[in-house]
Amino acid sequence: MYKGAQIITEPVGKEGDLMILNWGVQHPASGPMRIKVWLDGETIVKVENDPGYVTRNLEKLLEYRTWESAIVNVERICFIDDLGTLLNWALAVEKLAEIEVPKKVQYFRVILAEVGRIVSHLIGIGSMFGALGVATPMMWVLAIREYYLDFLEHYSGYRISTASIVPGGLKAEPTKEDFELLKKAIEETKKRWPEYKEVFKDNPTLVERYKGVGVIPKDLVFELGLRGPVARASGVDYDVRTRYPYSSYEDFDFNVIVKEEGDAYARFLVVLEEIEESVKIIEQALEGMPTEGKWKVRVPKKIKAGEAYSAVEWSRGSMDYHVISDGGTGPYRVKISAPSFMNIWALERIAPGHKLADLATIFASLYICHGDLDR
Amino acid sequence: MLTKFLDFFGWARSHSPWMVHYCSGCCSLEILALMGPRFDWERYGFLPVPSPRQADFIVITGLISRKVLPVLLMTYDQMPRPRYVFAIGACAFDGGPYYDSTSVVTNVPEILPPDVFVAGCPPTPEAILDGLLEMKKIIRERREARAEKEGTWREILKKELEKNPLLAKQPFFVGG
Amino acid sequence: MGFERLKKLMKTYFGVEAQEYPQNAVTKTYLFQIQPVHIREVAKLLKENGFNFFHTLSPVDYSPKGRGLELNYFFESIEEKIWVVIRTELPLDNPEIDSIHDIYPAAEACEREEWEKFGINFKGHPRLKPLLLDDTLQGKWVQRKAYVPEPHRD
Ligand code: SF4
Repeated sequence: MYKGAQIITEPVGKEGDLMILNWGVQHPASGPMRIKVWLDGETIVKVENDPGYVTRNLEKLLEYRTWESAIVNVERICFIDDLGTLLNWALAVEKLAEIEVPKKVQYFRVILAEVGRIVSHLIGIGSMFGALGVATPMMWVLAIREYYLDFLEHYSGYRISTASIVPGGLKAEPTKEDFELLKKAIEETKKRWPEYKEVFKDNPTLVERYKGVGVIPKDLVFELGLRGPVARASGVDYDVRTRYPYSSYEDFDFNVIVKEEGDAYARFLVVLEEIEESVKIIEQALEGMPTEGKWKVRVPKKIKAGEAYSAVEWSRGSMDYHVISDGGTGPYRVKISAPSFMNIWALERIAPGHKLADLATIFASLYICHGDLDR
Repeated sequence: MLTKFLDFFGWARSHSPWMVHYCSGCCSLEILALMGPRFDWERYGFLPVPSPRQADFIVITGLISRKVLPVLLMTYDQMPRPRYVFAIGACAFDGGPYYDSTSVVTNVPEILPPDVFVAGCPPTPEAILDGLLEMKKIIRERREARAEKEGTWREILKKELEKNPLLAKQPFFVGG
Repeated sequence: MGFERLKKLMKTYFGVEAQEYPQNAVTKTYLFQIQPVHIREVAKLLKENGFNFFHTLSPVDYSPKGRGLELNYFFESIEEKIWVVIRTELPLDNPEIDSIHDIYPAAEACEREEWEKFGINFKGHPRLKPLLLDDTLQGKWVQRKAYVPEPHRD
């Protein structure tokens, strides 16, 4: 029986009132999310977020899964970068079970996580242009992305739902062809990226619309607990990879991109430049990959009671899990603390005062994924 | 004579099938890949349009949560006839990996029966493209959409409108 | 330094000791077990001593184990690279605690989410209204152990 669901009805007010506009749910730039905007003419007076249109209640579902089968739901937190969430799950479960995986598994996990970051950042850049109605960059980044997806498909059998990092190791042993495909993807990126980067960076449409728009001051980052590229674009050097290295990240040499301006353009640049750093990490990992050790360590079916907290630098910021075990075959409770859920609240603070047309660019530059916003 | 004329329209329409740009689940990433240069669905004339009023079919991209269901139905209701439904992903069939979630609608085909369904979680772009070509055939033959005669979506939408009488007054409703 | 001072003040004001919390895979972490009535003062103390980054709020329902709701607040000191977990326990029927949204604005959304899912009443919160779940699930406190999900059909 249908009992009704939440629906969007806001009356248009009397003459002289502010206009209330529902931006989304079906809007090409918003994704499945509603943003309620109060407008005075063209100027935004107030903004209110209404997320929850892809809620699946994952935290509850995970209580009904086993340690291993949970990966199906964990990786679907957000599909744009599923590998980072998988890595975090593996780290959390390994912490609970007190096992350590061999160095070469850690290296390959780093490779996978960075591939996930590249794939996600490419889409992010494409959609930042897409918010302006500029379609060509999206085509270019998708062309590069396909090479990475080829690698993932060959390695795991699936393009985006890879399930390749499991607690205790990896889903499968990578073969020679996998590495070749990855190398090809990197080659292709290095060949095309310098040119693309130049075109993207100085694109007059983008510079005009993004520079000086949606400035997030440094204080606001601490106040709202913003994470990831959004925090780094405001001058906060917070990257879990270098701050609290996990999975052998301390072995690699890379820069954390930090910008001081804090506007939408700075956020765009952070995302743009992080791709090169990720390529650097993958190259180093490929070179220094150890050969000894197994690809998978046994994880017990039942894990003793206890709790674990783990965090990784996901493509959108630090992704934290608080996992609690009561000695059963699956988690007793999982708390997923996702970066988009924190970052979205910056919109309510920074959007007022801008024109309506800037809302799309600010929203795109906050780099939100609705999957991890709603979970 | 008239049918020939209409056949011509069907043929013409099948060469530029437009879909509503509406993403509700992770399957939409594979739709995105389809837009990209490798699979390039525009060579068949497919195009995502922002407004449902110009669209020929709607794509149910996997997951339909309880909160988004009325939005989906309203979007479908705003489309001009003939309007078709194209569903992809396990979620759009029975909930897929969220089969036991309370927030996810697990019987979407009963509500809005699709004309073409592509299985997978997520289906590969090749499979989706195959389904889209099937959709083209349906449009060309001017078949009646399944959702026009089956499905409980009209009742659900009516209940929504009763709950929100303001909404029914909005000019965009063609009225089911 | 900030944390040392905090440790001393917590001892003198609330009589709680800092415990090691090795379960955090990220970095050095300390745990304080406090009374729920003290949450606002503790939050103020944390803020004054450099714990300026609020990570998350994670309630756990221990009712099948014969306990109440356990609340974990995670804070981080950006300069010192130390984390602090504030833990407190509430009864399951009518759980109430003061909101810390004005001390840590980041907590506002988290508290709103946990109100929706656990039914914890955060006193003084400016907008405890539906956030993620739809109308039919409101008031069912879906994250509690007593709630068993059933697939939804229309
Ligand atoms: S079918 Fe799979 S890929 Fe598609 S929306 Fe559902 S979970 Fe996501």
